[in-house]
Amino acid sequence: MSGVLKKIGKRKLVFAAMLVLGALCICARLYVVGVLLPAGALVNEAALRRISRQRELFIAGSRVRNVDYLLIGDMCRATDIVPAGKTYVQLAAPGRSLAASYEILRHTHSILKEDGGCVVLTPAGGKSGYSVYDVPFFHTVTVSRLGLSTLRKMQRLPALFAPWRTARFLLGVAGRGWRESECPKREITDFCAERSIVLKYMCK
Amino acid sequence: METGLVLGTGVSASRDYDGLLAVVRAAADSGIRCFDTAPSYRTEELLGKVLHRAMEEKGLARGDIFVQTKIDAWQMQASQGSVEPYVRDALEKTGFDYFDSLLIHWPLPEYLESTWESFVRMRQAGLIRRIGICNVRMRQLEHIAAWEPGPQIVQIERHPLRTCEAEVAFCAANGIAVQAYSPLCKMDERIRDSRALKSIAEKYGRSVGQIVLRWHMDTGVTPVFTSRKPQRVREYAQLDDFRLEKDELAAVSALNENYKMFLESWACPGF
Repeated sequence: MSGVLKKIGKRKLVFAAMLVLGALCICARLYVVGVLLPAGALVNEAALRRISRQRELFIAGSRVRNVDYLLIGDMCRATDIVPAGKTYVQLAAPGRSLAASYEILRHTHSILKEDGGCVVLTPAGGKSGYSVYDVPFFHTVTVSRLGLSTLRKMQRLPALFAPWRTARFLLGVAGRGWRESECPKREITDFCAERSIVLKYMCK
Repeated sequence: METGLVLGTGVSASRDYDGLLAVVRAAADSGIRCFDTAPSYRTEELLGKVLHRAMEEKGLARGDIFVQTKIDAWQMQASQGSVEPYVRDALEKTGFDYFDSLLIHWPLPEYLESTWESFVRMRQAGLIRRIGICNVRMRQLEHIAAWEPGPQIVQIERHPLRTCEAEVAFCAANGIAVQAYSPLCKMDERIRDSRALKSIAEKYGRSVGQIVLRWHMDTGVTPVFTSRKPQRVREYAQLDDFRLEKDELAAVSALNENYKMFLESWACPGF
């Protein structure tokens, strides 16, 4: 039985359970709950799939390698920043802080082409800390180092724990007016220099 | 390294006793005496049981086989580099008194030096014979090779789509043995369907896999390959009776795209 459950996938089961529960609520004339539950489950599933697609770029088997640009940070239009004809990977989430952007950089920079790959950081101004949209990119040693085990559990329900960010994430609401500036964190500048990564820091 | 090939027990290996025993028997019958594992593969204990059985069957002494394991990133972090308890635990699990080789699996920067110091102490104490490191690029190699003592073995992802010429040349110049994991890049279609490789394979009456493994050995690298099939192990072990010529080696190397399957930073934050 557990093998069958594993095959179906925990996530799909929870999603299906939400739909069934919603239907039951409607039958019980709890119309608001009956609509919100499956709607919330759909939104949550959509967000998880989008994050999954981003993560899949980095696992063995992905053909995406040696890219020219890696964009990490708040939502922005990649075409505003990446020159035409250049390959890029964008890891954007609403309100992503500089600290989170740096941690994600530490996990993902090997996807860049060696010598000359460019990282563009577009952190959300005035934001700090980590969100359910950052933790999916973190190795267990990072989760342990930063004390994010609770956030790691919450990452399965971004629609519940970060509803506004989830809405912006799915709608692709991208900020504009990005301009290049000096990276305020020396650690990041040094990190990139040691690895021959060109660093561009953008802010609004 | 006494033999030209290492049998790996990583993610593609058999996880059941009979399956792994059949593969190890085939390896032992074919002259392969080197075996690789790691805590993250969850095959350490199983490999130990299988090797003891195979040794008994084939009349092999401990000194006739080469057993290599690794220290994983979480172990480096949890112990802040003092990894000896994990190694002792692995020795107990495998039933051996020593490991022929111990490698740092991922060079987690915060604990690299302290872990290396721990390796050196364990070597002095006789728990391990050789020490080394995996998943390094030139940046780390130049730094680590200056350590005293430096690594004796380096294990990297290497195959025709990623030839690591700089790393291989550096290690050769510094007396460091190089092992290649994923030596066939999981038979990526760019390798499997390569006209150049098929042509060379046809000339020697061999498979593409055998040609690629021979290329590794002829360029001074020991391939670490994994298979669940005993017949595949026997096939890949039959490499001693031919050598690739210079232009054939160049043709294989020309497939290089610097394509890396396993991104180091993804498994080793801060790489």
